Amino acid sequence: MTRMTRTALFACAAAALLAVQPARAQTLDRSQRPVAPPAAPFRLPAVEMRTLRNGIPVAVIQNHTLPIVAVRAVIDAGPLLEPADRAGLANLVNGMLAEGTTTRTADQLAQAFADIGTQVTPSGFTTIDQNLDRALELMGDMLMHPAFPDPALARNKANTLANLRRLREQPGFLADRVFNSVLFGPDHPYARVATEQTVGAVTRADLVSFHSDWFRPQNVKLVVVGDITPADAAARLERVFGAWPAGGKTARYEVPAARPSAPTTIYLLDRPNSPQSTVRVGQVGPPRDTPDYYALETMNTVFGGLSGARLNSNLREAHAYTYGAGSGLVWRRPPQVSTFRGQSDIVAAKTDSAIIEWLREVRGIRGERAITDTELSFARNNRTAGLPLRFETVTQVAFAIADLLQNGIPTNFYDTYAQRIGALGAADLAGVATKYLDPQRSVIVVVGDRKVVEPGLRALGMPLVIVDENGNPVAS
Amino acid sequence: MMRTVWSARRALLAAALLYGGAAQAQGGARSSPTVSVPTLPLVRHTLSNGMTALLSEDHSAPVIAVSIWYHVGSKNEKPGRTGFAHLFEHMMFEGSQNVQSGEHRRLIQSLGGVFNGTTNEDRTNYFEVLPSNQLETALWMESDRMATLLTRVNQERLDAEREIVKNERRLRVDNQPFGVSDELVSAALFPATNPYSWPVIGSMTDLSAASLEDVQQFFRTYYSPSNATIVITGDIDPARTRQLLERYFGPIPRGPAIERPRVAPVTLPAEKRLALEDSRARLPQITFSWPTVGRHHADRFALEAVGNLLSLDRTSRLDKVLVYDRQLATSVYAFNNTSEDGGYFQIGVTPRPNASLTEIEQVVDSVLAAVKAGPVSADEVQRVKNYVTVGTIRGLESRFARAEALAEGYVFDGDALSYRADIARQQAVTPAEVQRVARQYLGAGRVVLSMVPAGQLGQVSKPNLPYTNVTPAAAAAPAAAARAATGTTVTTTTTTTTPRPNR
Repeated sequence: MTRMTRTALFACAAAALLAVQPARAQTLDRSQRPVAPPAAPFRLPAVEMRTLRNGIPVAVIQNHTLPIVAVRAVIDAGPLLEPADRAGLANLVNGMLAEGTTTRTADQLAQAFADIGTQVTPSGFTTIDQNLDRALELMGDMLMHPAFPDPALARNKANTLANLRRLREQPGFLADRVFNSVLFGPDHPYARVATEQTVGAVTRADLVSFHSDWFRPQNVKLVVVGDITPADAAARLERVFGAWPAGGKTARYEVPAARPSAPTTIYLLDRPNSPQSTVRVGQVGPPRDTPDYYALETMNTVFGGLSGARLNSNLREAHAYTYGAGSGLVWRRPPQVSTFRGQSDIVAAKTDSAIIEWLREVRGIRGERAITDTELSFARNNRTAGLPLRFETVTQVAFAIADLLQNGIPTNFYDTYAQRIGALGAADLAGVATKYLDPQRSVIVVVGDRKVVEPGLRALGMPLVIVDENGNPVAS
Repeated sequence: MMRTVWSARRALLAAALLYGGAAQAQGGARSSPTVSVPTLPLVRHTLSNGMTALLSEDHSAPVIAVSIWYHVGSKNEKPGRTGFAHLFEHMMFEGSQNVQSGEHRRLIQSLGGVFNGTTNEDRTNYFEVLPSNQLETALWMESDRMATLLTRVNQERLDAEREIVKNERRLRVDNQPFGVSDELVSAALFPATNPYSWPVIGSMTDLSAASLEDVQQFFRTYYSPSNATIVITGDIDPARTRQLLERYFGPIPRGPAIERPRVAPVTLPAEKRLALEDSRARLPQITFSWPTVGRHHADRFALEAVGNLLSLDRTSRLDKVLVYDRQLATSVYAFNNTSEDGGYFQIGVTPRPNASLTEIEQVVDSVLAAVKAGPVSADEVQRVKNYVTVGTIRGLESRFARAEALAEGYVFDGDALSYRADIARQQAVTPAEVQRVARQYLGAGRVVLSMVPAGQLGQVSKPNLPYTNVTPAAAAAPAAAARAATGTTVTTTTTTTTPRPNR
């Protein structure tokens, strides 16, 4: 494990190689690293806004490199808006949009997709120019005129319940489920989960009502990217979506507060015969519109956002406890809070050791281990020099802009992005780490083989709660 | 050798226009559109040490993709060293003479780039996508590990990577419900001497056995320029790129001639029926697998069409019956998997709770019988082709995807642009060929794998037929193991090569 050992082996190996293959030592001096020329000019995609006559905003980004167009619809009709006793309704509505419209059966829709060789979904598509009008018409028909046939609803409900049972075979699903429940509270909307009862209770009338309430122009935004001008895009979308009638309700995003944070506690869900423990560590974070956004994201790039970051370097590279460890911020549309969440799958016998190292890294990023200049430039450069990679294809651009609209972020967000990231210093990153990450008040979830991992976890000296799949304490 | 073709933009434009025109002309009856296949711009350059470089220019974004393919995979592994090609791939990220251990990932990421390496049965690739001004850095790093990897390889890093790979296996295989199913099917489909019979990730026992000497020998045999193809796509100047390639890769000596495994065609004389139990599973699953053909066999295109005919969308034959009409399953898939020297066709069904695997097997068999009896309609075959055409154009959107398409063609077919011929052959598949290959390949000699929650062997499909319980001992419930030991209808064997997870 020591540096000395490595150096010794390095020297031996080098000598052996040179003896066998002297030809590899040529005039080229490989120790001289190339100096890169200045980056080629990169123009961020220019977003041009248009508005349909019923008020639907349309973001258009021109890219005439290829004769293709990507379209995305951002619709505020998510699970947050469904009644608690109908959990699963929003996803059922979304799935049922492709089960037939007032003028097309589901099979006719499928045949129409096949005719243009493009899978059109209610949320969007990417296709060649010539197919654009046809694809828009099919997308609009699904969004505005779903038939919600009863037999298809019965099938979708049954499949939803079957899939929920299968998801509970997956340690990752179970860990996320428990994490959201213990972090926000079992009755919080983020901890809500579809069940036999809530899905079973859904009727066609619920679908019609949910659709009528939320699938309305005031809850819709459209993104068009590719080989098209803003005027042309607006005209084509007007023909399809301009007739979408007003009415319904306007989506709102106020949710109850998360339950108060508690001293760091380990929540253990027993999953017998698991050779690895699936681990989540995290806390509640600020809303997406916080001025700390840039510092938080950049701090996370040093902490756990990439494979070259501290968390993975420790748990994987230095200790080989895992194939990978990472962390990230789960942002939601303001005023909702975010979640700061780390995840890894740890070899069962090292679950306790990994948690010790993990919390050491949290203390480190808060200041115990200063962020070096190398780490600071690693994180800043990754975000700024890497911008062209995020906008390489029209489909990527469409998703990136849709993501901004979904989170209520101005579409000129990227205009100042590099400048804001570039202005950050190490103190800014440590500052947000201290402000938002607290090793004394974190939630730790472990889904693993209790008989293997419990003794080590108990020895950590933190509160340990054995929970069921819903995150509720199990009487033991 | 150098060959320049017209620009990617114009090529894709032409293809899209021609296809779009055909689509418009379709109207009611579905006809075969005349499809022009996009031709990527290509400059091919061969270094004197045998390394091939494929360069494809596109200046629409200041981004490059660099991908090096080494023509070596798990197929080249020795007995007792399964998983070694992939373990070796990990060692390639642990530093070389001028790159510290762990520095590769930090350097690429600090330049705003992404990177990875992947190993399959036939090849191992290493790639970076970067801002285009970092081309030389990428070539410096890739050439440093090709030239000097062994100067830094050491026992400490090998031991660490071995544990990391074991954790990768736990993540992907051992901690997943029925995660060992793929390797059980491969072991049953192919004879033990066939290199496609063992899993790329390898067994825990073999991973434990890998030595530093194995690493050195593997590197000297397979990681030479004469066994490598480098593809660079995107915002490059081909002339300058050639100079850089000569500078960084030119001095590396050619490697030894490589003896490649000869893989005989595989057929199964009879059906093999297997059962797998898992204590972490709550619902059963079932797969049906047949040995088929490799990449160089013309029947693979018709076999791919059979897969799509069965499970492309809700009107496809298996979906329609199992998911929609009879509602026995939540989902179904069918595909033909083609490797360089072999392949297999697989159907998988995810049942509804309470649906019987026996009934599902009967339905699958009746659907297959109908395909074989015919007729297969031209419309059914045509709709598959439409998706493939638009999908191909979309699939060439990103620079990395283009690099992979060119590398695959060159390494396996000796023609970087072979994807064009492939699409032409895919478009030429007739309903009669679909019917013929279904009859020829999807017959009685197959592997049927029933996967059931531990202790639920009563759910196995057609439980009165003899079957082999291939459950790794560690995962079996005691009750099931006891019942298997009494051997009423169960034929328990110890032929499985699946290792127990190491604890």
